[in-house]
Amino acid sequence: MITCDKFLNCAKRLLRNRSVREEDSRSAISRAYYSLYHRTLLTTKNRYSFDLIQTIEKHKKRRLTPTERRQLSSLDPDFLKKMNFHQLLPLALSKMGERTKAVSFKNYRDLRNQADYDLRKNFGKRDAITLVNSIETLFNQVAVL
Amino acid sequence: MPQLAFNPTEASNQETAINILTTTNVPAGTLTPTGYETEEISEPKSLKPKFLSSAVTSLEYPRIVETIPKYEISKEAEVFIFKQKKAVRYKKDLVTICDRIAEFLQKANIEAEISISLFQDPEYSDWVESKIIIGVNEKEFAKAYELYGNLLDYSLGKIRRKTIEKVVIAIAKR
Repeated sequence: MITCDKFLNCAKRLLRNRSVREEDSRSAISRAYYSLYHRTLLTTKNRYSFDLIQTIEKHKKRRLTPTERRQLSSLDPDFLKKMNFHQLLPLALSKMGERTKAVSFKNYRDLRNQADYDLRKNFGKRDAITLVNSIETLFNQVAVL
Repeated sequence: MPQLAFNPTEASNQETAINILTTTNVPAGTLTPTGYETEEISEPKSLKPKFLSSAVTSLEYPRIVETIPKYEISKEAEVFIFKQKKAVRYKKDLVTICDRIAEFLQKANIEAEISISLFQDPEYSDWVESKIIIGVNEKEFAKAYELYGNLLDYSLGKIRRKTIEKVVIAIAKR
């Protein structure tokens, strides 16, 4: 089993070389985002499950079934994908009063989308380092919530 | 034939009629009698500009007040904002956030262009939000990101949670 910080270490490792190809810069941003995603998911599920469940039920406009609660507890990947936790997590952060973190999270989601889907943009090494460092800052902040 | 209320041909009224004729001096085709003083009513200065859009000053047609938009908003973003509940309030919040961002960056000596467009997630098509884009020069990109957390703290204070839940704030190179 892998831990979320390993994704962040992978992102930094990709940018460590003297010359970094653009595909490595894009991969680094993507890995860094997913380290943040998993960190936030674990923190909210373990310590703020009430807020997380309320957020899900409010957004989906219905109560979670007992099966879904078990799937949330076990972090079932199909359940997470179906519910779109990429959108639910910043909503949960906002509900918890962490508005800056919520908006930051969405920005990094947007950057990950650009890195993976928008081939027109340029992602150089320097920008990738800036972004990975910024994501790491939020990762550490979420870890101590 | 209708009877005139004041008949100038009657003897008792003739002197009055002559007086009227001598005090007025209106050559044919003239709109304004020269014997009278005319006062031009100037545009009211105390009213706010929004009231002037329907105010009619003397001899003028109603003015259409054209406001220059402060921040460029894409058509897609306009449509999205319009469809939101309490759209006016939502848009006002977005402009307030933009104003604060501009203020913060000015204090930090970072030149930026702020615009509003749309965030649409490519993997979840129903996930759409307004996106405030802070366009900075390449050399200031890293500095802007160092201040990103502080910038968000400054610009999001006391903004409604409903707005926070539907806004993305991004820094981009222009």
